[in-house]
Amino acid sequence: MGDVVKYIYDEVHGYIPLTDLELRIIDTPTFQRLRRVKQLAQAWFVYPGAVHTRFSHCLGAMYLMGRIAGKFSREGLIPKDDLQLLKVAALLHDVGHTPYSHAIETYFKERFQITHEDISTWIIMEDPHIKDTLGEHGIEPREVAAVVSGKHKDPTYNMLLSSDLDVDRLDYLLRDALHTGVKYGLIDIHRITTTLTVDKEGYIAVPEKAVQATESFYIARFHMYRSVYYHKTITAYQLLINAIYKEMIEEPEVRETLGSFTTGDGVRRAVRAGKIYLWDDFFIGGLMNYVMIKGLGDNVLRNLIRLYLGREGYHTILDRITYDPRELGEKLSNTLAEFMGRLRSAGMGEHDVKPYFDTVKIASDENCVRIITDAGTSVPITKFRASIISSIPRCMGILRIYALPGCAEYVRKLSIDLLNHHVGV
Amino acid sequence: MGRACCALILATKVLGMSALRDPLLIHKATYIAQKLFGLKLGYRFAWLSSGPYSRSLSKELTTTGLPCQCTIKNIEEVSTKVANLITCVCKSTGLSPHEALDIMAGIVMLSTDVYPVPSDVIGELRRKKPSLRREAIDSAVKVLLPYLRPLKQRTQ
Repeated sequence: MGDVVKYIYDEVHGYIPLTDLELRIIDTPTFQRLRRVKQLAQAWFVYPGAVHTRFSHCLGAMYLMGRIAGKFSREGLIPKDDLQLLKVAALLHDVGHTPYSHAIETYFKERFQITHEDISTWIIMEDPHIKDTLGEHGIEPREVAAVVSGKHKDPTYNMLLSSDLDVDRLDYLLRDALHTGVKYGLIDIHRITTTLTVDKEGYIAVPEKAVQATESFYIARFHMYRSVYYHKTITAYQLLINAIYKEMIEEPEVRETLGSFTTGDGVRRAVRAGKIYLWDDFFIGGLMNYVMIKGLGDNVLRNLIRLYLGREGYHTILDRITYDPRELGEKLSNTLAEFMGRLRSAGMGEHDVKPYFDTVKIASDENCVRIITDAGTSVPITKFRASIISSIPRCMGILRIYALPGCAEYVRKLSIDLLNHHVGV
Repeated sequence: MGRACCALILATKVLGMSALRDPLLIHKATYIAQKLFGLKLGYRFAWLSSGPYSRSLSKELTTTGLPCQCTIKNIEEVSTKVANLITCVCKSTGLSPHEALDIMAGIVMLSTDVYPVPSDVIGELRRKKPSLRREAIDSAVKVLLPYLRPLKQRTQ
């Protein structure tokens, strides 16, 4: 790995050292775009301080990868020659995030089956700024893309970037807790990074003495899910921006201005042309202002933007959390279909009412951290009796009904009539 | 929720109800069904120490239970093909169906889906699972070769 050529001060980790390759990647317009993509998209509607960006998160993930992979390398678990590869993969793992993160990604996922991981892979392998920089430093873009997409031949590399206890999660939990002010999202990062290892089967593991730090990580993550990532109001604004993007694409003048950024193929063309750097929060936010100034689109679009800009978005009509998601997932689908059908018959439009259902893994039996016991055996933390994680629910289900302010009361009444029996409104 | 339901049906048809006790078997059976027999469930698999693993499938399985209505039409046909292939591998290797599925998923993923492509797939698999006998993996590869060739040509 090359010498340190520069330090960047980070609010979470302090001074982050950069090699020449890392600095050159950061200096590309493609990577600089991440300064203009908020890490938590709409979270600032609830937590005013949550305006940090993907840029600092990617730096943080790279820094943690350097610390953990460096430790693995010193212990002979991975070759020293691959340190730079892993750090660059961590640096670029979120380079393909769409503006407003998951809100707009959902549109591309539903319509074109494209995720931000796909876009990251395209950028690493096809964006002229990134692939040329990697090539000039002897790093093969395809190998970086393999780590980012979880398809490197060495599973340990994939798990360092994507598992229960990976550098991505370790950084975003700390960073998001700091910026939202959610105190129970904090974790003992020093303890985790200095004890993390790999067991004989290649699973990410910690010794028994680090069980408390690992438990604290799982519990902190659970609190962050409830308080931030799946917060009812934050989710409501994600649904709203998603609806706005869909409607803007239907408006001819806006569609023309959006150019390539309306289809999956278009995004890939923009990547190949080195133009992805134009697709950021500012662009989409500016377009919303443009629609309002010029009076473009129909009333539906302009009303949605007005509600968004004035923070008058969806009201939560029903909010149900369960630790047995099957009870919601299977039994409710017919009732929900009937409920939505009644609303449509009553003249409610596509964006007036939004049902929302999601499940969140709290701890996964098959892919969790292993505990290397004092006796030398390796046990999944979910099956380690001395850990509280063995006793907590494995997943959480969330069911919500949202409605725009104008129709909230009608939807609330109907939801009480129809859903009361099933979800105990 | 239709596709996770199909994955569940597939795994239980192939391995019986014992598949429900180990979610990783559902991942592996689904991976083989998608990769070798074209079952269109759309799951993306990463290569982890446990073998092929799909985060979406894992998440969707939390809301899916039996009995359910599978919405994919050729699920019966594909299940039979996967089950037959497992039987062939069991016969040639002497392994149990669970072990055979584990090896099959590893061989297929290492041969066609990871990068850099290992020069010695068998050695790579044994490095990950030292308890596996080399002869057993050799025999499994022979059974899988007719399926692997077209996949390799497509990815080249």
